[in-house]
Amino acid sequence: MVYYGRMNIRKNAPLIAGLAIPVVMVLLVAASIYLPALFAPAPVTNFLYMTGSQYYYGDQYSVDKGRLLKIKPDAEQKPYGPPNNQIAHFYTYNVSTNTRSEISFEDAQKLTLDSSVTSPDGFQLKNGTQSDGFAPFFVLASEDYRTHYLVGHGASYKLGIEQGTAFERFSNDFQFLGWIIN
Amino acid sequence: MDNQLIMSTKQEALAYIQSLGQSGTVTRSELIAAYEVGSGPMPTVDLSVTGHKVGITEVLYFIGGGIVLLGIAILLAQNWTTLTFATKLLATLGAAIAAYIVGLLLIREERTESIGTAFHLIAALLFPVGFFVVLDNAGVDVGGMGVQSVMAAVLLLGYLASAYLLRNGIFSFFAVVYGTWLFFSFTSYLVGSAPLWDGTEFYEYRILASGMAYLALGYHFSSRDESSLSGFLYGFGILGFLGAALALGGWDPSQNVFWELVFPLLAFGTLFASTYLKSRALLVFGTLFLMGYIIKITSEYFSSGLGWPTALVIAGLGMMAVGYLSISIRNKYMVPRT
Repeated sequence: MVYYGRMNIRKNAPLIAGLAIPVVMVLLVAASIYLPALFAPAPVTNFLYMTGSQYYYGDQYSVDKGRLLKIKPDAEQKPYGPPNNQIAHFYTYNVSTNTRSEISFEDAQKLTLDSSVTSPDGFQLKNGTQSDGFAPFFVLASEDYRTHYLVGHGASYKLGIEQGTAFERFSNDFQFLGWIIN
Repeated sequence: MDNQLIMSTKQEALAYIQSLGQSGTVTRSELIAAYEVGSGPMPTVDLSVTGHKVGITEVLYFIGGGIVLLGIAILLAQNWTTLTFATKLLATLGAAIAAYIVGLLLIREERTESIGTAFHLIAALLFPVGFFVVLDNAGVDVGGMGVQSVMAAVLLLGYLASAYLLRNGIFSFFAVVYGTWLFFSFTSYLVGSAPLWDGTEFYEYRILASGMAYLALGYHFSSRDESSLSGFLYGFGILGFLGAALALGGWDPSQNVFWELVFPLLAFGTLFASTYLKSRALLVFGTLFLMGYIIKITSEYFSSGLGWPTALVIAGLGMMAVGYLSISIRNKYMVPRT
């Protein structure tokens, strides 16, 4: 018989197993979140993104041959909704310091950009997830447009771009434009 | 007649039972079961596939408890904006504490134990609502997984302590419920909003783990005073375990081959375990999930190649075989022989 203190381990093996299974799973979840972050390379490629001016028929922006372009809306096309009065804001995001800096469209045009999904150092920009409801009954699991992550090499890094309004939570005002090559 | 005990008086019989209880040879539930066999059948209602029988009186107690909870819920919902914090607190946390104390007093006596259990049901369901009211008033985001984890941990510790001190199955039951709440909320808190895994799969793996834990705890309680808990734990445990395993298999073209191949082994393992554990819950759910698996695999892989009618014939024959196997197991291992 194996005894630990007053507890008969063999007799209480099912109890120990029943308590250990969730504890082990919690440890595995924690390890799979924190361990890759210890060994994965830190992201180094900064990126350019913008907010505003994406709805209805306002100015559109895209990257072609590594440069940012502004595309004027077609004057012949009648808008479905009200005219877009939002002003586009451009930001460079420094992944090392986790900070953003607003820049002008003219300065943004001077940057050489790579609009691939994956950065040269192997990271992707993804929205966060949200679970609304009462655990364990999550009635709604969806993307959270307020939070943004760099995901790669098994690790994820939360970015300091928090969009807090109720509207922004369910809309995607944030638009990634490209990884800054130089 | 060498080993036969001869007890001439009632006192001698009771003294012998006392000595059996002290040495741990016979548990309380085994003794009650033996008494009930000797005194004839009791009026009972089979409420579920778990095989746990609850008397009519207990059913009425629990319905009464449910109506009390409903009344409190409607009172709060209709007057949420007009009620003061003190009134809300009194109606939730105050009522929970009162119900807990009344329950404690009533479960001490055997004749009032069932109604005491109903009061504990009210208390256990009102405690989280009371905590929500307090934290909501303090401006805390009660929907956050961190806050839910703290509440679940506090309630789990309280009910574990009650189960340890008072040795009553109702506390163990709510310790399991709050432990499950803590497990789900804390794992969600750890992951946060990070998009590391597919949300549905992560949820399924957690249900799988909870199911396994329930089965292990069910086996533990089956040989103890809280043996009535094992039926509930086996039933919900196998439902979660096999349900999650089947869901993890996915569907063509994004199926998970590992879980699709492993699932029949798990289902047959469940049928085998049902004979060893004498559990009808395992037999019923094992059979139903095996039938579900046959339908899933047939429609997933054979409906386009062989044609839907042929696939239906194969599925039908497979289900008949599973049904025959299930009835054979029940007749051989579970129906008491005369």
